[in-house]
Amino acid sequence: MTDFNFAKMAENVFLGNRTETVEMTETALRAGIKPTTIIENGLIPGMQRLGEEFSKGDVFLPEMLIGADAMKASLALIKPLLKKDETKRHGTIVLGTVLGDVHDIGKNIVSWMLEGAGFNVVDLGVDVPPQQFIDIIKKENPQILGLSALLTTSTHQIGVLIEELKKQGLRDNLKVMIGGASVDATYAARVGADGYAIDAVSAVAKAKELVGTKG
Amino acid sequence: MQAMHHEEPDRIPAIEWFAGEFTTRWVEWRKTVGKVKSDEQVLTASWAAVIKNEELDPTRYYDMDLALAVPNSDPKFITPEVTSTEAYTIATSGFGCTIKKRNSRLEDGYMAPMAEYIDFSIKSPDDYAKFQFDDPKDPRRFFDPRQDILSGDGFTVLPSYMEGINSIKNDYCLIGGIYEAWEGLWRMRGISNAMMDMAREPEKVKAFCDRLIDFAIGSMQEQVRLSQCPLMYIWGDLGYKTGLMFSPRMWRDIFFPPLKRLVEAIHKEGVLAIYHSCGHNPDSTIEGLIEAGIDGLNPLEVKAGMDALHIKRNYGDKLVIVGGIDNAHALGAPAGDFVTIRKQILTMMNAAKGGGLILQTDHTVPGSVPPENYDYYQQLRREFGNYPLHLAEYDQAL
Repeated sequence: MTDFNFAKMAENVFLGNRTETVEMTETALRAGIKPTTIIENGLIPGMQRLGEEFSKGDVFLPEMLIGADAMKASLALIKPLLKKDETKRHGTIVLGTVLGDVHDIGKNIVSWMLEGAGFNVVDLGVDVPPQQFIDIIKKENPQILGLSALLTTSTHQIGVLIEELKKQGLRDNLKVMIGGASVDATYAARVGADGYAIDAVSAVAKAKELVGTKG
Repeated sequence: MQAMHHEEPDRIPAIEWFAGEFTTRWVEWRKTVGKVKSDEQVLTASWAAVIKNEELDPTRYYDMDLALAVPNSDPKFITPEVTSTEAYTIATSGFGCTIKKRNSRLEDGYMAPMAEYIDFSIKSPDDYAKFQFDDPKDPRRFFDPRQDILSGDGFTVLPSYMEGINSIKNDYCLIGGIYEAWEGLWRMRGISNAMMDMAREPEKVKAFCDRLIDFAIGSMQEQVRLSQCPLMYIWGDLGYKTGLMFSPRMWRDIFFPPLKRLVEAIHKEGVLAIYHSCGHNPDSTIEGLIEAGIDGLNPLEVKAGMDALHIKRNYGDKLVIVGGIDNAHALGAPAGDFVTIRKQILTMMNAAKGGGLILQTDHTVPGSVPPENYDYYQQLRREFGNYPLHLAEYDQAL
């Protein structure tokens, strides 16, 4: 079904049209289009445009949220059909907001964009103690750990966790990237993180760079 | 009040909100450096601290000029259900939401000053119309001991609003407080849910915002009647670190009309309105707020790029600045980094020339601020805060 209108699907994701996005996903699946093709040609372009326009300041959080909602509704239909290796084409990322901090919107948008871009995202939520990160890193063996911090009272938890990873011999095979209102590239360098991202679009780019993936 | 009318009083006025965690740390520091002898333990609520000894109250110790007092303004007047485990406290609120806050202490090496919102009674856009507000002027909100979970005081049962008013009214210029539509909306529905409703069901949101403002006006009127406060904070919050949370078009469509109505009602009581908006607020937003009628802007969060001098130079004839002291990189600098603190504070104090500025940290003073840094800021205030202002090496023309 080469005439499937992927551009229209991407437009529906961009506009946050959940019902239309779901209907087009069902149509595509019924027509035998590969699940990965739907993601790459329909969902990713929609989310990528949203992320780029968000970075430019042309769209805002409400539009990001309904766009992500439409994408997630589509992914819910597609994911069960993906083969195991297709769910983590670029690798696994463990994400979370550090201990003592309950901010989640920025971290969630990063999580959705990474998922849409083909990463297997293990999102631990907010207020995550160091030991919980360590337990899940041992279990999932991710390529990247992503840490979010917005409160100045909690930012130092990033350094605490990185030191603990070193102590337990978990740091060498793991890339650490950070983001959030209370950190910047200077802070990332100071605590020995591998990267900093100012927003969700640059987080996806940084994650791909860290795992050595192009596109 | 001279400062609020763009005139120079005898000194730059100051107000502060101290996080309970900071007050606890500050009291211990004062005991350590031998400035106070007391065995009293500060009882830390969420943001507030319960202090019986005036010597241990930073607001009195530093001789602030203004003080905030707010009643219970939860849409539902309920007795909160508070349950605690070793790790968390979970509580219901009169906003219809349930929050979960990690129990933390300074000695644990981290702090958890904010609660996570884990459930909401408004579960869909259709639920907005079903929500029934209780009476904002219910006397229990003003005369009974307070436990308004979200409105600043946390889980500790505190003295009533009127008891608080009576204890401070002779010493401070009083400021009341009420939330505007956006703040009320997200507390009751959750930030992400509310934003998605704003994008998909704006008419339902707008109708609810109108009812939120009816409630806010009722609370404001009763605060003014009982306390005679001449100033009123409007809790807003439009920005985050790098920009606005929603588009200027959406703000204008959904939130501007009820905000304007609230400000008009405040002015009708003979009270001035100070709008509180964290994060980055671009000039176009500030112009919209001025159009809505606000008299002052708070807190000018420095780490989000807000600059008191820029606001003064561009809007100083229309807007009073309440805030502008950087709690992250200046007060939050390593303990004893007085060079950094002096530069930021004396530079921003230029914006007080001609009046129109009230000193305040650019939000609550968090527990992460070293007490000696805060104490140094107050030394600067005493040394340089008297009119006419001479700000040493950082003095500049406006």
